[in-house]
Order: sequence, then C-alpha cells, then structure tokens
Amino acid sequence: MKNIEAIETVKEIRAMMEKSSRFISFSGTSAILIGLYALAGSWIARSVLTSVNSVPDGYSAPLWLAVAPQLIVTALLVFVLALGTILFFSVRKAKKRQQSFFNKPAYRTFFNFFLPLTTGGIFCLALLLNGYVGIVAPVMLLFYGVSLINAAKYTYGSIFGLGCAEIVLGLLCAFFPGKGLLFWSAGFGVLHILYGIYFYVSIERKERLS
Amino acid sequence: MKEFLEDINKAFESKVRLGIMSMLMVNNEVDFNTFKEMLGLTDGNLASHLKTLEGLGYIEVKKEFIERKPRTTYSRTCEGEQAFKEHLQALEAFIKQATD
Repeated sequence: MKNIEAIETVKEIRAMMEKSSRFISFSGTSAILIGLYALAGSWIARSVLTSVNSVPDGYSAPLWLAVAPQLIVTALLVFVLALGTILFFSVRKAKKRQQSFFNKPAYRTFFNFFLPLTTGGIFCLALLLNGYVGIVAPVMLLFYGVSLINAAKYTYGSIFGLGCAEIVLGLLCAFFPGKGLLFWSAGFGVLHILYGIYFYVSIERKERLS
Repeated sequence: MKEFLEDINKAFESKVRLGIMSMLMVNNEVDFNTFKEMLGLTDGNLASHLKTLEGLGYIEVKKEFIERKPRTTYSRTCEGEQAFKEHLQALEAFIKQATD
C-alpha cells in the first residue's frame, strides 16, 4: 500500500461519515434568494411604517395597531417564500446526487432548527399581543441565531458562524430601540446574501469539482 | 514498516465494506436501502458485502416489519467497532511514518 492510497482511504472514510450523518443538500443560491426576499419584505414594511409616521403624534400607537396586520402578513409571506425556496433547492440538489431528500440527517437538521425557531415565533406572537413591538426584531434575530447554531451540528458547520453573527446583531439591536427594521434587514437580508455567496464560492464550487 | 501493514484489516480492503463500516460508526442503525443509496450498489453486491461483515461478527442484522413491509437494519457490534478503530489507527500510523 502506498502512502497516497492510505490518505485517500482516510479521506473516503471521513467523507462517508459526513455524508451519512449530516444534511448536505443545501444550496447557496437559496440563501441569497432568502436574503433578497427579506430585503424586499423590509422595504415593504418600511413604506407601511412611514405611512403611519407621517400622521401627527399621539395617534401613532393605535395607528400602529392598524398596520400591524399588514406587517405580519408581509413577515409571514417572506417566511413561507423562504421555506419554499430552501426546500425546492435542497430537493433539487439531493436529486442531482441521487439521494433521497428526506433522510435521517435532513429530519434531524430540520427538527433541531425548528424547535428553537417555533419557540421564538410563539414568543414573538405573545410580545406582539402584549404590545411590546419594539423588542420583536431583536428577539427574532436572537432565536433565529440560536436555531442556526442548534442545527449546525447536523449540517454544514459553517452555519454556526452565521448563527453567531445573527445573535450579535440581535443583541446590538436590543440596545438600539427604534432601529429594529434596520437590524432586521441586516440580519435576515444582508447576512443571508453574504453567507450565500460565501457558501457558493467556498463550499459548493469545491463540491462540484470533486 | 511491515508491522504497520499487519494491522491493516483485510476485511476493510474493500471500499464497500469500509464504507459500510464508516456509516455504521456514526449512525447507530442504517437500513439496507440507505446503504444502497449512499454506496450506489446493486442489491446482490451490497448483500454479499453485508454478509461478509456479518460473518466476521462486525455487524448485527435486525429484521422487522413496518406497515407489513420488511425492513432490514444493521448496526455495529463492539467487535466491529474495535476492528474499525484498529484499522484506522494502523492507517494513521502508516501515513505518519511514511511522511516522516
């Protein structure tokens, strides 16, 4: 046995371990698209909010409640579009590799991602219903970051970094009341686009070459 | 150099058997179809490799029925785990002494 052969064997073992235990049907394109949806969503939210702010002071609280449904619908639309995009691209990538999409690693990844995320979602709903509107943006960023970190153990490890970045933004956001939308679009828009590009350049291209 | 090669397990010379063992090291249970999918093999070919590993006592077979469909799952035995670890150590030692 030659040295190169032994190194190749070790590489194969590692690849097989990764492939069989981690969810790897993720595409960078979907992250970029999600970032764009989030930016579009926050642009809509901004125009809805400025239409409220142009009204004289004192009425802002009840008026905010009047536009709240519009904002919630926008947020839900962004969320559903994002989820659909992720699923579409992941299924496509899995098919290209002739693997079934919904295997055990995929199940584990999604379960561990959605557990903290659903908690955060319900918590945000409670905050909204109690009128703590200003704190919703940082809470969303924080729970999203925690969800990514939790899922990172079962998929690409680099998602851990993205999760940490979301948490840092969420914490910063909590100290700057009134700037929620700005941080929200940075976290869900810009960070996703940056991560998508990074993922495409450093991981997906290598996968395609090998 | 020779003593390193002695520890390299003949059972794992086949890439398929090495792949099966690698998958079983990180998953407690793997079913037949998952092996097939991951390793890209025909039923017969895969079955014969699994038989070999079973014969050596490295893996355990469990047959069950889920919604009336038969499902065969495999798991590693303590012996298999030990053998695989020794094989890896031998490979590592071989690589190390060759690069020194």
